[in-house]
Amino acid sequence: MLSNINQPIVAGLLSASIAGIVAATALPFNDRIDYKIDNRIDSQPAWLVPPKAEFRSLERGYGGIKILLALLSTGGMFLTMLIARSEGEQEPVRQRIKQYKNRVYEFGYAAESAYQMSTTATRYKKLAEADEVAFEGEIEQAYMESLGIDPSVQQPLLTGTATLESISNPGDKVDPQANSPELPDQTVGPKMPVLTNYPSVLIYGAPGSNTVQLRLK
Amino acid sequence: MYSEFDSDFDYLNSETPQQFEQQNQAKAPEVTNIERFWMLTGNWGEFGSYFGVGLSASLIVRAIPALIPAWVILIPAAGLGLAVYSLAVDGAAKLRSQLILIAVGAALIAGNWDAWQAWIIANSQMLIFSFVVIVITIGFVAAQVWSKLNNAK
Repeated sequence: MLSNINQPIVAGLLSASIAGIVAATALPFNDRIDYKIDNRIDSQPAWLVPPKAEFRSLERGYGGIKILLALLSTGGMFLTMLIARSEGEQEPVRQRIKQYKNRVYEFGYAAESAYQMSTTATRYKKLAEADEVAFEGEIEQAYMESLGIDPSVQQPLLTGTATLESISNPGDKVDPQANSPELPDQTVGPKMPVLTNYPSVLIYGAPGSNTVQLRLK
Repeated sequence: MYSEFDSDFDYLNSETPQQFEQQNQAKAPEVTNIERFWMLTGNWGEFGSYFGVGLSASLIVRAIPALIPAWVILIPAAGLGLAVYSLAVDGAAKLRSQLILIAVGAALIAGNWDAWQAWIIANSQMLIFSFVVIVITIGFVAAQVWSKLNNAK
């Protein structure tokens, strides 16, 4: 791929100049005279023709064309040299600018990648936190369901000012307008384990069955 | 953080623009193909310019016969001066003067091949005689030297 329009121009100029020099070199300069002497036909410049020769014809020389081609080729060669020298001085600067552009592009790409990595890490961190909160909520819900409490039902609220009496006997602080607690009878059964003591807890149970299975590992 | 990257990306860890520049400048300069192209075409253009000047000048001189005697003296004189100059100087000037000598000499010989041919034909008898004299002389001297060197035998 051509990166510089002067490249084909210089190449063409150099080729044309070489062709011109070759043509200017190859063509004969002087006129030559075809003559016959002693049953032999020869061709020489005028000053080499023997006096006794019999003139036959004249071969035109190409002196003018040679000079014209030589001058044009000289100009073409000189122009080739000027353009090539100039481009040769500018080319390292272009290469350096190109390298800088590439590095700017790489730097931008690396920065964008780092930004995406950071964003992804933050997102996963938030997702993990939300997942943990949700997991704790599920445990709490399962625990409440194991106690026979429907988590979706509004629980009775305590009213009034907390006093020492209310702490020891909170019954009088229950809001009579709220739903009755309808606490189930405390059945004797296995105690709820402290779930945080276990690295992995699996809780499952049929919806609405009011029973929960815990599998501890 | 980016240690797993290739070493080409090390300059991205530069903390200051100066470090970035220094790391770039520390790399060895590489000559690209396009730079090589410009150097080659420039050299050929320079050689062609010298060759073309010599060719044009010699052809113009031939086109004006009255100038030939003057240039027959001037061109060898200038060539001799340039040859002495090329022997006296060093470096780029020496190379350039030798380049000019080669280019102009080649132009004078190749571009005027018909004139040299005519000159050889016109002076063929003298050239043959000179050649024979030289061969006989050198042969005689060589035989004498050879006989003296083998005198002991």
